[in-house]
Amino acid sequence: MSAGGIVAALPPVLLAFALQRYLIAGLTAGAVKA
Amino acid sequence: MNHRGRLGIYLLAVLLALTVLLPVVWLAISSLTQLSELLSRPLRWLPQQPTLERYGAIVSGSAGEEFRFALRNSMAVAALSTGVSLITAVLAAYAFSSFGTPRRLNVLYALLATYMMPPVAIALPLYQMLAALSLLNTVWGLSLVYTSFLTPFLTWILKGFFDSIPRELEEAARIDGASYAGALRHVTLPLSLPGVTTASLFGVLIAWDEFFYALIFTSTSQAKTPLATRWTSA
Repeated sequence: MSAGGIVAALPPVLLAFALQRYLIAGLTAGAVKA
Repeated sequence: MNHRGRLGIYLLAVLLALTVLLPVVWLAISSLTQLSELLSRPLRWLPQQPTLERYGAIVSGSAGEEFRFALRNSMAVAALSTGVSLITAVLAAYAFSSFGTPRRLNVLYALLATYMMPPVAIALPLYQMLAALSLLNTVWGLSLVYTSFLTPFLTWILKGFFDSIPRELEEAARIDGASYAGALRHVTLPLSLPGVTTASLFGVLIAWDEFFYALIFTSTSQAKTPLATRWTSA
């Protein structure tokens, strides 16, 4: 069960690390400002 | 800021990080601990005999078959729905940000209104529509539903980013002979790459974590991962 939880949580985390460089710029630029 | 103030802020930051990360760390620890040890008192932080046996069961065992299938389905749904809505949302957000009368914003608020609809309210009609299209229990059906609420959300986020890019840059491209599509492709899009990345990550996260629709529109054999963690004992 907890092993399943870890494996299920992996893909988004890996994606976030892979995109880290753009992500920080994107989030600090302010995502929602209509 | 003086030293003491900075120290205080760092202490608070560490406290916050611990609060957020501790449950995740415990999840990782308990995934490596034998069941008998997890049930014994007093509870230990570190397992006496760590085991990788359950990860083995997920990766190769026959019990993990269903879980791996669900994992693949989740990835397909997240990729498909985010990909489709990203394309639509980039074009829509560009249009909302650049052309038309001020009244176009009414359409934007209408999009926002669809996003605010509580999922419970439209679950039943959606179920009937999917059943009529025989899309229940399919990756396609779930992706279609996710696309329907990811598109307005991503449009809103991307419009904010496109608005922050100076009009003059785009006008310069237009004067040099680029079409609107060309200006979007060669000027606006590269400049807002951080925004597009953030938007797509939000899309993938929402599609990945979504539970309610997945619970209703799929049965156990074709379930997405959040459901599969419930079914497998691994």
